[in-house]
Amino acid sequence: MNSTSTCDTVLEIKDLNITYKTSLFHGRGLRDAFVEMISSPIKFLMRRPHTLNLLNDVNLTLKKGERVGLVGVNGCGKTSLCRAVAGMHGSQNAIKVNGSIRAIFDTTVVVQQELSGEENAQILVNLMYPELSKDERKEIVKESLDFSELGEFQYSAFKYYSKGMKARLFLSIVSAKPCELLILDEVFNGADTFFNDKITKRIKSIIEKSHAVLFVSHSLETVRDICNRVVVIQDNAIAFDGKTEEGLAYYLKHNKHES
Amino acid sequence: MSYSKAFTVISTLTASEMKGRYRNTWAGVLWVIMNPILMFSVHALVFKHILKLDIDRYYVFLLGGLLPWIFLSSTLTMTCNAFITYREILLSFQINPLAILASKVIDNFINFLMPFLILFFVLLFFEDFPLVGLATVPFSMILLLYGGFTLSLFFSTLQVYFRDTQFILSFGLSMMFFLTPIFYPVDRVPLELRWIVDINPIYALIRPFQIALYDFNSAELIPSILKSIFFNITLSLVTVIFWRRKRNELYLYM
Repeated sequence: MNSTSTCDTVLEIKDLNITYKTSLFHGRGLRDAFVEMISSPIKFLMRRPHTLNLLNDVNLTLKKGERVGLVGVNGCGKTSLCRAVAGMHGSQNAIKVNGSIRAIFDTTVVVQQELSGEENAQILVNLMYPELSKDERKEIVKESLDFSELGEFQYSAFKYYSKGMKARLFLSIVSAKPCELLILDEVFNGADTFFNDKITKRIKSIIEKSHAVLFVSHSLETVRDICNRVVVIQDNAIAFDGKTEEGLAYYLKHNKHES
Repeated sequence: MSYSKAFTVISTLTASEMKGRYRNTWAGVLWVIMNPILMFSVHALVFKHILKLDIDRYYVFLLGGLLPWIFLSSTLTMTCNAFITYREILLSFQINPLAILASKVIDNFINFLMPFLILFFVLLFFEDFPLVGLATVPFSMILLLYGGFTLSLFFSTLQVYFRDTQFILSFGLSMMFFLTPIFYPVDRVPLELRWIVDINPIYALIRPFQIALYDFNSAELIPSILKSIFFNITLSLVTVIFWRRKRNELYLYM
């Protein structure tokens, strides 16, 4: 991934293709591959992997202040696109990002089951904010634990936490600091209704402070509430890119079975 | 990722791994230290006192061969499933898979150092160690650690695609144990079979360590270090090519 030169541009994707080679390994073990290689070596050597073209020729630019909602049916490539932008798919020359990225794909992650919530919070903060000083990270841990309202539970082993409690802690840490590009993939799940209101406000405030946001959600209401632009992914490509209401209408019209 | 960020991430993961494993269990700490020491004792008992293998300073010989073997084999066994075990974290936010692997290898290296130092200081009372050889031990350890990391990366990546890799690796290591001159000296291997030793990458990683501690002479040590470097570079090249080709699909298959 490279850095962009234009100050206002936070993310620039040019002609991005995301392709997976699949059938080469599917459902097979090394022993099966070995037997196949011995029994029919020519067929084994001539075999070509099946190629799954998830996304083709994606072009997307995000400028400061844009909050883009990525919508599309399951398996259309929203998460893969976000992972590619976050640098989780190896080096992608097609993607240029100006500044730091924070990408979250699950809110119930556990690092060490045996350690307490407080210790897991320290670990997560170190992993998510390694660029900050020790004191700054300590401050985030303290603030996140207070915000999560876990009280005495913060000293209990993480293995005793419910999904909602894990989500409370994780969301509190994630939303502690803004960044240039924030990627949120289905993050408003897990916490209870009362905490959800509180965390939603906080995440919205982080979204406001971050330079640009890529937001993935199947909740069209949340997309409408948060985003000022919508990108619809359909048939391995960007099918619509424009205003929120028009984008949601396009998505509903073309995917009626999903709505 | 800058070096300071990578250091923070790897040290955090290593510390959390160790803290998590030993929380509320002193037996766990004791086991990690005692396991290699017990293995060492059993080997010494069987080969020195039962089979009466006629090898001078056999305890030092075992320290230089068996302990690094235990480090390499346990590292490969422990890390083979690492990407799948840490799937949840890897899929949740941006964390370099290599940092997770490095933390596990370093954790295991610390586990190796503890029994190694205990046995070394005990043997120091009874045996002489060549001082120049001892000075080269840290360098041999770096080669061993690097080789352990490279092999771990190769097998843990392979495990993501072929889920029976760990079983085959475990079987392969059992065979390699007998084919690697760690409890018998290399000069006992007949010349016509010496090629088996020559192409053994694990022995290439262990040998400088063995020479430095046991039969130190610079005429042998320098070629063995060069051979270890050669194997490290070759393994790195193969692993880097494999890793780059397969990395994109890693998240799909985890």
